Amino acid sequence: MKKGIIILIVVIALFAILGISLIGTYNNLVTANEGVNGKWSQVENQMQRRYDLIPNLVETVKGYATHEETIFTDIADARSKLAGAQSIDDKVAADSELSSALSRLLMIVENYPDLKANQNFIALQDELAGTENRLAIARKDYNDTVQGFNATIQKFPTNMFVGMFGFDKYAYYEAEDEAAKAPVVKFE
Amino acid sequence: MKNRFIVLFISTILILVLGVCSLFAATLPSKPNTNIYVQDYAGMLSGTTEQDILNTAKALDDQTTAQVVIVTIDSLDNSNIEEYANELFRTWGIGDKEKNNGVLLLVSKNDRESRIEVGYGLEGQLNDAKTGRIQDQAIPYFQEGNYNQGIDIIFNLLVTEVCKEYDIENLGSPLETKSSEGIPQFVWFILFIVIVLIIAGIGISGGGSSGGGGGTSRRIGGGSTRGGYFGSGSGGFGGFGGGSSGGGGSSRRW
Repeated sequence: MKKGIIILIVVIALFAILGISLIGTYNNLVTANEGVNGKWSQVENQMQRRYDLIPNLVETVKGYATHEETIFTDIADARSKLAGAQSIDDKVAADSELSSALSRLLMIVENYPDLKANQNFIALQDELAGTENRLAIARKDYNDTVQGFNATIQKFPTNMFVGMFGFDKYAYYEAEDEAAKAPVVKFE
Repeated sequence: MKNRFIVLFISTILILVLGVCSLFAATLPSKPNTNIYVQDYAGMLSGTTEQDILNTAKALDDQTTAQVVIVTIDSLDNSNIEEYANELFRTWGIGDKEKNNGVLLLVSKNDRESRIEVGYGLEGQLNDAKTGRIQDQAIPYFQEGNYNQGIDIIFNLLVTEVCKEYDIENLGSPLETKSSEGIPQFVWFILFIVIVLIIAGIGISGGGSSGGGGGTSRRIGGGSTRGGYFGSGSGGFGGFGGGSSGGGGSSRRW
C-alpha cells in the first residue's frame, strides 16, 4: 500500500516536471513565433512606405518625361497588385514586380538631365533608395529570425511537440530570385 | 612558481597577438572604446577638426544621449556602403539602446562614397531626403579632395539637426570635457590588462593547452565588449549605447 503511494507520487511528479517543461517550451515557441511575426511586419511596413511614396515620384517624373506611358502603366499595375495581395507569396511577388518597374523608371530618368537635377526628384529618390535599403535590412532580419525559429522547432525534443502546439516552419523571403528573373521579362 | 609566471606572461602575449590578429581579419573595424565619435582610419581629418568633432559630439551625447559618429575608411572591401554602414552601426551600437538615437557618417576614400546612416529614433528629424541634402553640401569639397572641410560641414549640419530634435539651443562649453579625456584612456588600458590577466589565469588553471588558443582569443573580444557596457553604465567613460538602425539615411558618390 505504502509502496503504491510512493510510485503514484513519483509518477505524478514526473508528469508535473514534463508538464512544466512543456509549458516552458510552448511559451518559448510563442515568443519566437511573435518574433518572426514582428520582423515580418517590419518588412510589410517598408513595402507600405514604398507604396505610399510611388505616386509622388511618378507625378514628378511625369512632369518631365511625358512620353514614357508604358512605364507608368507598369508601375500602376504592380502597385495595385501589391495592394490586392493577401498571402506572403503574393506580396513578395508583387513587391519584386514593383521593384523591377521602379528600377526601369530610374533608368529612364537618366535620359532627362533636368529631372535629375530637380530638388524634389532628388529628395524622392533618396526616400525611395532609403526605403529599398530598409526593406533589404528588414528582409535580412526576417530571414535571420526565421532561420532561428526553424532551427528551434526542428531540434529535439521540441520537434516532438511542435505539431501538437500548431507551429510550423516559416518560409524565407527570397526576393533575390524574383528580382533576378525580372530583367529577362523587361527587355522583351 | 617562476615557470608559472613565465607561462602566464607568454600566454598573455599570445592572447594579445591573437586578439589583434582576429581584429584585423574582420572586415569591420573593431569597436573603439575611446574617442568613439571619430575614427579616422583613412586619415582624412586634421587634428583640430578631429578634436572639435570629439568635443562637440561628447557634449551632445552628454546632453541628449544621441551619438553622432564619424568613421572614415580606405576601402569598403567590395561590399556595398549600405550594408557596411548598417553592420558597423549595429555592431558598434551607436546611440542609446532604448532611443536608438545614433547617426553614423561613413566615408570611404578609395570608393569615393559616403553614407549617413540614421538610427530608428532620429529618422523623423533626419529623413532620408534631408541626409541626402546634407551630403550634397559637402560633395563639392569631396570632389576637390578637401575631405576635412566636407566632413566638418556634414558633422555640423547633423549636430544642428539633432539639437533641433531635442530642442537644444547651444551645447554649452565643450572645453570642460577636454580635461577628462586623458584619464579614461589610461583606465581602459589598465582594465584591459587586468581582464587579459584574469582570462590568462583562467586559461592556465583550466589546463587547456592547444585548443585554448582560439577560445581565449574570442573571450578577449567578449571581455572588452562587456567593458564597454560597464563604461557606458558608469557615465564618465563614454562608450556606445547599443543603439540600432534599420537602414535609414542616404548615400552619395562623387
